[in-house]
Amino acid sequence: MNADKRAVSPEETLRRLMTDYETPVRRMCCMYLRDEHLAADAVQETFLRAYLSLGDFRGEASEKTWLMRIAVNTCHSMRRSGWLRFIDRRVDLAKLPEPVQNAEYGMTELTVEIMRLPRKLLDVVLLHDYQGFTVRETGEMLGVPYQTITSRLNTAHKKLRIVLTDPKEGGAPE
Amino acid sequence: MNRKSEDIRTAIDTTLSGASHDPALFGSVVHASKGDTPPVKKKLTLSMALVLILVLLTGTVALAAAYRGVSWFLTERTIQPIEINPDLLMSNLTQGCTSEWLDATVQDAYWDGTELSVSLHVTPKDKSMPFAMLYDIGLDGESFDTIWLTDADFNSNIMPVEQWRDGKTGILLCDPKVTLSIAGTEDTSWRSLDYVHIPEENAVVLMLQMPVNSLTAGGQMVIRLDSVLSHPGDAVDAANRRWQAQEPGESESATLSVYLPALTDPVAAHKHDWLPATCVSPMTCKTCGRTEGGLGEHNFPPIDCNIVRTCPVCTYTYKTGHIANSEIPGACYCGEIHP
Repeated sequence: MNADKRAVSPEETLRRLMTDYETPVRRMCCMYLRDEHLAADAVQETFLRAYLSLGDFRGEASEKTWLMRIAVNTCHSMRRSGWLRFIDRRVDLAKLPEPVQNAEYGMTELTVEIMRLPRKLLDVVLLHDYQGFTVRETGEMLGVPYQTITSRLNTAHKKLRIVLTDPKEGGAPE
Repeated sequence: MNRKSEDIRTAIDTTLSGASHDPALFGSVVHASKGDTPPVKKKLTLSMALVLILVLLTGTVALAAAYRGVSWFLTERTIQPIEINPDLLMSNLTQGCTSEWLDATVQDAYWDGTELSVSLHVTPKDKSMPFAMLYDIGLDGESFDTIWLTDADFNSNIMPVEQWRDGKTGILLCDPKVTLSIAGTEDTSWRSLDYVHIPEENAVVLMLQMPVNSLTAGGQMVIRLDSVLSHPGDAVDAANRRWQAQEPGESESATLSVYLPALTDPVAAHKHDWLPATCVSPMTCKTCGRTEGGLGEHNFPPIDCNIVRTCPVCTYTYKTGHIANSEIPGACYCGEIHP
């Protein structure tokens, strides 16, 4: 995981992972769980699982892929448990962290619409559009063919009233 | 990254700009990890081994019993545990049914005044048969295309239909439906909010919940278990949540009727609102007057050597005004020297 010849302690690796990825992980958990406190639990659980699994990680995937996969699985597990399985499409902005800057017009509305997407569409939007993974990487992380990812992205963007104009998205995978 | 992805990224980062670094996260993760440290190996003597075996046996029985119970779902399983009122817990219901393919038992139920929770234990009679509960795991509510496998690790393996059907034969699928009848009124608005798999039993335990306003008349919960013996090539009608078996007749419907006892005692039929104990009364429920525990302490005012201390609740007086200072003979805590 680290190219330096000096042995890196697990704590140093954990600190570096947090420095690099805590913010995107936390925001992704907020998008899944729609609650600041639940997201905080999910973030802690994600980094805890990563910390405990550092010895098993052999670099088959990038660090970011590995960590985001843990975060997605953690959020899925939390959504499956207890009351969260009850389908509730309401998004209460009061349960989310207060923004430190005023959002441009339409940005909050778009974020709320993304949160309200069905789970399968939310997965692909967060991993591909937000985290920047390719269609193929997203498919590998979710265990579905890349064609399915493309289809779900199209469906999601239509639901969000965004029309794909980049010809690369509709064609061969990256 | 194309413009649409940029818009999405900007929207999320702007709206959630308050969700960023938590300085306490590193410490909490490292601290939490300490709980997973493997125990230090010690030499095991014969007596310790016997005690350990006895504890394990007892613990296993207790764990198995609690594992399937509704109180386990509501207290240990969930991340927001509730406080169980033992008066509202209907334990040892143990009402079951058996069909050609399944054994199903309701272990216990809990009513918190507004919602009834029931734990249902389902297992195929042929314990070697791959067995799955027919659930739509995704929250989109739009498709019926995922299966929770019982030949998988604890709560970790959920697969799309196409993936698990391939190459398997004789898979038993079960779809539970619940109707609650209380005082002649039927309600089908049940939810299954949680479930666990018990690999060693090839069993599934579900927690079913539905709103119930009153149990003073008792009630009957009818659980219908529709099962299909599925083979590769069986059709899935995802839109209508139907599984079309390859050969006709390879299905069954088992019905389990659970009789819920009437909670006619008004003392038991509500959550107690406790007043703290005082020196004249134990802890008392404001609603029903039920008491628990013994009397509390006197409510003495702070020490003041000029005033004899009197409990304002019961008027009991405690000692005279002055209290001897054990470190200074003849002196009081207030500093005065008394003869």
